[in-house]
Amino acid sequence: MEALIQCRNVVKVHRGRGLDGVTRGFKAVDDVSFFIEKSGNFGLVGESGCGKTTLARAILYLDPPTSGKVFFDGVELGGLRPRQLRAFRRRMQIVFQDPHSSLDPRMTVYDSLSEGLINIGMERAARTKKINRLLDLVGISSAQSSRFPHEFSTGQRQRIVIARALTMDPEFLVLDEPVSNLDVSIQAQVINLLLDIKEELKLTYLFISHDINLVAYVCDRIAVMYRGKIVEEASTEELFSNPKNEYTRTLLASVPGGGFGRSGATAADIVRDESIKHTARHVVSDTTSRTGNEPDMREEPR
Amino acid sequence: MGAAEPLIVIENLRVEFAQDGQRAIALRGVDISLYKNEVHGLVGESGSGKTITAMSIVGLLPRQALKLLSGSIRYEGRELLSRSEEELRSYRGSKIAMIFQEPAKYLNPAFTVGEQIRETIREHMGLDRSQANARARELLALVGLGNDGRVLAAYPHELSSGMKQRAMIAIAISCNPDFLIADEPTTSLDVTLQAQILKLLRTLKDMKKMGVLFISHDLSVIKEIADRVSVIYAGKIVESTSVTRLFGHPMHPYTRLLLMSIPDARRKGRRLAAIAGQVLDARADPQGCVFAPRCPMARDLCFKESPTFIAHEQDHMSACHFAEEAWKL
Repeated sequence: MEALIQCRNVVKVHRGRGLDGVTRGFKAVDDVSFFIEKSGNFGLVGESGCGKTTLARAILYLDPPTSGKVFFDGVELGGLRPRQLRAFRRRMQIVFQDPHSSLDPRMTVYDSLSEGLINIGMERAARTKKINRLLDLVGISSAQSSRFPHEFSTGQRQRIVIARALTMDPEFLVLDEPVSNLDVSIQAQVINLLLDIKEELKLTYLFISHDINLVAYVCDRIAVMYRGKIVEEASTEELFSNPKNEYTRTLLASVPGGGFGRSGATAADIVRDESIKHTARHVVSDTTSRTGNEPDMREEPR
Repeated sequence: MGAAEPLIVIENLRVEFAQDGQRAIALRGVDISLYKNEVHGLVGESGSGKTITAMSIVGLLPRQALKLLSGSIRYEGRELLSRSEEELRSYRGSKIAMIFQEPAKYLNPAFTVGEQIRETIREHMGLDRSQANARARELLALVGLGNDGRVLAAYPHELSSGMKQRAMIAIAISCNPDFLIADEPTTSLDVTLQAQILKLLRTLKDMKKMGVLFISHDLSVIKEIADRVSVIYAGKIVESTSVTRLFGHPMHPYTRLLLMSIPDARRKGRRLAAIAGQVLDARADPQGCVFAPRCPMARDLCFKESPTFIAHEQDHMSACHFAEEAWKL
């Protein structure tokens, strides 16, 4: 199988100067390597703040990595000139969590979807045809294309954002928590839609979510991220039947209502077990398996 | 459980607001009985009336916009709806407490956690400063924030979101309420923290024999924590029963479809059941069933006559003309 995306030892350090004037770095992504096959469906799971989005932005070169290499279809993105990189941009798109903030409230749906197409110099007639086709694909009536985002429900807005991501005929889509803001019944509609268009357009997905159950439903391979590192990567079946990492097990056990960790055990049971193991070290810790050296209140008080 | 008298009885609660000169119906007949020492889950989509139900119980509905408030909410047999603001204030905090989805919004950033807990205790329990302080320490230890006073002296921004929610819970239970309303308390938390907060709420409920109304849009969270569940759709309770029955044998098509729309890793590859269409507009006041326009089972009767909310089987209430057929969907 051919890899569409390949990351080698990607590191992203955020630098900032504190009140004392000293510049410090924070390693948001720490030595991450993996690859995504063509038409693969790769899931990235982890809790908020673990570096999922930073990694995605580094892969897309929206925020280039501090070190390490990203290959897209065999070409190293870091070695490209800005103009060349722009040509690659077209082939990869991203869908964010909140469709309210990712659509311009003052642009009609038609205008929002036109922007990229105008940039590549597409004629109006061809543009209209394409936009109508895409809206139809995501289940929005093309008669509504002159409307503004506020006239749509959240679920419809997310469909519009997906249609916009597709205007450039990308091969690779990053879906960053695409359904976390949606209600259960609407979430199901959008997930079905994403799986349908993936099939139809032969897309490659990087699906990011904090919800391991959802990621497992959608993806074939899963990488579990914890504090900037990928702690485990496996096929979905493998990860669920035989989780090797302690954090993966905690995550699986935390799925409410189910309890994937052990047969019959609920999340609460497992968390209790875990916390017993960790109480000695983490008196006020909120995350059971926190082990690093983060200098904040979550650490053990002395 | 069932034999005891309910602590809070809500009957045919109807709430309407004036919105841009039009009438918006927030609740169209809510019936719930809440017991002590029981977690009652209230599940529904956004805009279905979950929070309005909670706000009605504590008397915190926005008065200016309120057009109609009818029905009854009885607390230990006494009507709450006709109470004055003054009387309600003595209920809130001491008898009924509430926690919310975003603790960051409800904790005052300008005061330490300790000051905020002490304020509540002194207001309702009349303790002096040092007694209040001792009690605050005890409470923080109870919710798992340690007893060395470190969190007591911390400002909200120094705490992680899980810790903030624990601090909120400490404030809520500070005056030993009989009843706790938890409005989506874990929605903004990571799964591992969510599991811990759910566990904490259960432990506290067992310890204090509190009644809990747990509001969530997430059926799997409800399954984890609740003893009994009510499903709300477009301002109406459509089904109410024990957790085991609801998940095993739903008697309303809406519940059934909701259950089928949860992505589950074990049912990979199978298409999710998506409920077609949109939630009923708040301005609409249909003659028939509120779910009929989206219901795959709907027949003529459903559009003509609103189904009554009745027990179809022992301890299993549903508002559907064809409740017996719902599980077949």
